[in-house]
Amino acid sequence: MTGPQITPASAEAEHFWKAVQQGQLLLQQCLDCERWQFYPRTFCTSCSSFHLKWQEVSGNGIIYACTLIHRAPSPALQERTPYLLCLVELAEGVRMMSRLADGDFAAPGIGDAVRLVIHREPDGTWLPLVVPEKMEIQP
Amino acid sequence: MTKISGAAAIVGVARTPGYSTPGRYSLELHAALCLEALADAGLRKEQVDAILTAGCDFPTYTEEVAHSAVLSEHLGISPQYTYTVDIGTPAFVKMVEIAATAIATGLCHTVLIACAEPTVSSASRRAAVDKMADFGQPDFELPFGPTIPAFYALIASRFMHEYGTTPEQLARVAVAMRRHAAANADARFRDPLTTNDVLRSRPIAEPLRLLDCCLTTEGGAAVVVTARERAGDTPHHPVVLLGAGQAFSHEHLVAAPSLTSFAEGSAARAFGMAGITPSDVDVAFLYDNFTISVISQLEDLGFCGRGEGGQFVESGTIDPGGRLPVNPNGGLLSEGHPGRAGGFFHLVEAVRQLRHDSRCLQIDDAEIAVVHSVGGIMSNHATAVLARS
Repeated sequence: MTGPQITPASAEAEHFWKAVQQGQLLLQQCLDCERWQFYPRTFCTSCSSFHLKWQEVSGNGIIYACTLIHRAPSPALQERTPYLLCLVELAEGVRMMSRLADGDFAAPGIGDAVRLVIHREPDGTWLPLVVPEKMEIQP
Repeated sequence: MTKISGAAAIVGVARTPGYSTPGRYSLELHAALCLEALADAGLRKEQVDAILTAGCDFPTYTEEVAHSAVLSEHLGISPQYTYTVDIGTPAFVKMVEIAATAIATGLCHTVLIACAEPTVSSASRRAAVDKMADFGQPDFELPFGPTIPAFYALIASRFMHEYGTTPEQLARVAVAMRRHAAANADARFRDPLTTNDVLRSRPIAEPLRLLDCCLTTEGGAAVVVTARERAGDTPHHPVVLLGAGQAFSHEHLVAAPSLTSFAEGSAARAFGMAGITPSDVDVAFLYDNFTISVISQLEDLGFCGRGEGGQFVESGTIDPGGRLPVNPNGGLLSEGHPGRAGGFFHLVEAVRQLRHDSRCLQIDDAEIAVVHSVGGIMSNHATAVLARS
């Protein structure tokens, strides 16, 4: 195992992660006030409307904050240290947590353009991970 | 409107000595601390009519629900007001505010407040580590492998980006705490520490290194709060609650609106209620779970301007003998962080400083102290302004 298995605690989380397994990054947009939101809920946190739409997004964004982790939360993740934990601000204006994908590229810093790309982890888990914006999509 | 400011005073305190409580069970530790705080206040347990607790991280079966009621039964008292406050580590500050409010509104007159965490001996060390490793939003943070230090490192990365805060300035916070700890026989670490020692310690989550992080220890504390007009008969100089505030912006960092401003509202409300400004404060107790937290709180509480926290620390202002000594007990970084009771020692030391009977370095003529605590990832904040009446 390389990380925690994801056992969603809400119907919205389940929808998000099922889409990720199918290679799609979905965000919620409010049909009334048009705001995007993350993490997903049953209602809009801006205007309290229940009229939300799931939309596939590009995953384009910038690094908002990042830290290189040397001490991991589990023995399995410890084998992968150091890894870069990131908060990514997506083009839609929402912030997501992610991690830099393994690969032969320089680590991005705050303000750098990146993209969230869905990767399959060695344990079979699908995760949206960070790659520099210019990188080719890797399966 | 009923006034909370000045309505109640802390008249008794107790804390566990040192940084470990071998063989002690949580409930027994709570009870022993309550009796010791009552003795310090010169009161009998029959005079207590309210009890506030904050639960514990590793409860036994009987402690899982209605913690304050279970403790009341264990103590053999029948209070008319019991409450278990579930807001994480800021609870010890919040409980003083709740006590003062209940006293001011006539619901009770003498309140016992206790929190203790024999973390390492009651749970196995492994269980304690596992619990901390699972900290984060389960669906949208934990899948990416964060840790508690990593969350705070993300905050530090924003301070460095927005304000140019440096690793040396972070390290300087740990150095200041160690200088204070030198005078505290109960502190976990008392040996001198240099900025270079911190910068050379192993990286945990950059820019935070081992010595930027506090250490989980064991222990707890209890205080007795009573109506101000009753406080005159107690053995020690009463310490009055002048102001209190709370602020909340997020529970999980992924939902935080800002990574550089968190506690402003809590401090502003506490200072406003007390009718003072930050420059009136003689000694501050800040929640130093990580070095970056102190820099952030110095700015949020208004002791310096936005982005100036690093320079404020670097110039020695928070050191022993500085203009604003911070955590004269050595803080969580050098004295220790006993689980859910983390920071409660700050309150005990604040009371002793204002009584002018500190067992650490006494700050001359200390009249006003501020005690601030943080829960989650700079999530939930509580501030208390205390005065030597």
